[in-house]
Amino acid sequence: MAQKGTVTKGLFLGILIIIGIALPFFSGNFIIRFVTNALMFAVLASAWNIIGGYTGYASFGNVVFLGIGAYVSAVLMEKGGVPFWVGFPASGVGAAIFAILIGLPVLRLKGHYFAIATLGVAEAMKALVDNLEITEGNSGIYLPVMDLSVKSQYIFFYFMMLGVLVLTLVVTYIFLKKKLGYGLIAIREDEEAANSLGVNTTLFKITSFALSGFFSGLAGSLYAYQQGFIKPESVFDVGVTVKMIVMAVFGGIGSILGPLLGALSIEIISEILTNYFLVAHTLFFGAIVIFAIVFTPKGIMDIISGRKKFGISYLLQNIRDHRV
Amino acid sequence: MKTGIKWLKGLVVSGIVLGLVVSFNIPAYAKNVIKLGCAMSFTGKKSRTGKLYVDSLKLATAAINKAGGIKVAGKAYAIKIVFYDDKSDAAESAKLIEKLIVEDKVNFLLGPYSSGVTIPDSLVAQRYKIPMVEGGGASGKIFSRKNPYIFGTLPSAGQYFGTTLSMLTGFKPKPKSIAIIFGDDKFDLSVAKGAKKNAEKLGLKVVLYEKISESSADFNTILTKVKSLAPDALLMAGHTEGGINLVQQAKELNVNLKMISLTVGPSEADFRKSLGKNAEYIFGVASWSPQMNFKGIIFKSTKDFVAKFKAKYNYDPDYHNASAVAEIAVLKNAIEKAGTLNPEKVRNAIAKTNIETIYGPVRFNPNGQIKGSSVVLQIQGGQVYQVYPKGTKKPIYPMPAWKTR
Repeated sequence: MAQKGTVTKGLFLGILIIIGIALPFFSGNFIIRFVTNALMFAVLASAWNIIGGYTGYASFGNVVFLGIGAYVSAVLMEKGGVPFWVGFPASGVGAAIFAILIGLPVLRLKGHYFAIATLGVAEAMKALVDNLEITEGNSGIYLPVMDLSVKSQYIFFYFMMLGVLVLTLVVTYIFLKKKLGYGLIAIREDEEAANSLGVNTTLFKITSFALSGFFSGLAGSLYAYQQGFIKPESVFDVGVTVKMIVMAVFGGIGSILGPLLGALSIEIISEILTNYFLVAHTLFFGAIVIFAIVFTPKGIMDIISGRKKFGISYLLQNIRDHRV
Repeated sequence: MKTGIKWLKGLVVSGIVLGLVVSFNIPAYAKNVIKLGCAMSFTGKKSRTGKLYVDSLKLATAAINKAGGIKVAGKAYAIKIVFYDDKSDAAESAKLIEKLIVEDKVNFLLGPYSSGVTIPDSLVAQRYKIPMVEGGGASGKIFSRKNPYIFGTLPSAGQYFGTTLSMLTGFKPKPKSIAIIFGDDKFDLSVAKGAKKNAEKLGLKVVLYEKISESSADFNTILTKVKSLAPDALLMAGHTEGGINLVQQAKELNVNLKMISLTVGPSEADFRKSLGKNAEYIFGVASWSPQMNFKGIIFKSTKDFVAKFKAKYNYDPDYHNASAVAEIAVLKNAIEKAGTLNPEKVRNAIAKTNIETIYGPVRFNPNGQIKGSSVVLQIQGGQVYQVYPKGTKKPIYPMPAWKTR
């Protein structure tokens, strides 16, 4: 039985990978850009999943890593004249270092207090970047333009983003099989018990936060380079954090592929709605998210993993289980 | 059997995902239509102002289509704007511009609202070499990269006092020195920076250049400084409340200058009401107000536009609305002048724009931003009049001393 499940998963993954690699060669620039954008959210949601899903620390400020990643690349490339290949890893490392520094005090907080503190950190960073001379303040900063044809640029960004996503998922997968992964889940289930069993909770939590920051930072760097211009209000937007959390929950938190599926399906639903309803799309979109959370709180992953039969009884069982 | 079903399920889900991604088709429109693409803030933080642009763009295109459309090489074309909601988000907006160009195949682009969204959009326009005319971003940054495909109809903050200064240097005897004070937001800072640069170019000595905190409402210190330095004119970039306090306290301290000019305030009824007689002779600047009177190419005149606009939408248009009409006027004129829909030729025609619109005369600087068309206002007899260039009344300079009024 378990083996059959693995086969299904493997097939499913295989199909996704083939689509992922073939897509840019069979579609127009808009689709490529659209999917690149969706992949970015998949990275962000998956990165959030590490700290929010596996470790159980609901960070409401994860956008700060996107912002730092974006600004590290922007400042290094524009002011420092360094090539993208230097700015890109520097963005990930910069965001990870920030996560460690900020994690030391903030990860001592739990529950709502942690959520509020991270929200505060993101807002404070926005205010800081808004007023710094080197980031050109709230008027925003340009990045150097890439010297490639339009199509090649988009294929480049597509595969870079896809690469970051694969890296995020593979690294998460590997860590889950190691002591770190079990430690994180133990922290989520009962931090004090984990501590008494010898799990170095501070180290584990900070590692998880830093990983989350690292991948978000890489995504931020790509975002900035593709946009060609960034402003604090757009890369430190709390709405982006909310979006990554909704995506992670929609797809299924605490599972590897959940956030990816959540991000893709939410982006596609949102795009279709926007296409047909100029203003009312927000209303329909909100309704879809509410229904999804009420009927399938465990996310898409729970449905397609095939552990339970999908049908009316599944939906009703979910409501009973979660006492909505 | 069970595995088969699961397998199928996985396939169906992936199929749906793929199908949805590939099937974003937009039906083709009939011929003889010029399609303009616009990603605007319909929802999100900037939706309030975004609506102003949408209303105006719709009114202007309806007016053109009613009058027979745009003539290109003898053939009449109707205009259609393809709107998308960018959710006031820069990444979303840039993505939609992509969609407008690649999927909807629009002929030309209209700008979004706010500078931060306009810049990423303009970079997409540049990649595809499709001209974009925007009326929603004033930041000099938009034009600082010499992107040849972006044209803006909002004058730059740095040029805000430009007309005031050129009026000032025309007075006899020629003023020698000025003082510039500014509030603590970015826009005010750019206005002040530009004014200082302009003034020095015109040979005026800037004897005081200082940031003030408008929230304190106390201008005694700065006014005492101004009094001892005795410049000919005082320019302030700030907000209405600060302007009222400044003028009030200037009278109390008997600071007599030949001219006091404020960026915001004089055109507003509240300002005149609060200050009463003390508001007399105060100068102001504005890029546009519904009281102005310009002849236009889509609407007969500013008055005509304001009347039609109010009849349709039931609110007073402001400079955002007028700027949006100018966008359409610029494109209409350029397409007709170029006599083709070729983006490159239309771009060149836009660069050579020289038209009268209900928003005022439109000509572009080589960087693509409109040539500063702000006008000088002055309060005379409790009313605001345009006094420069070519106003309904002549500017009164110098202002009479407070004691002699």
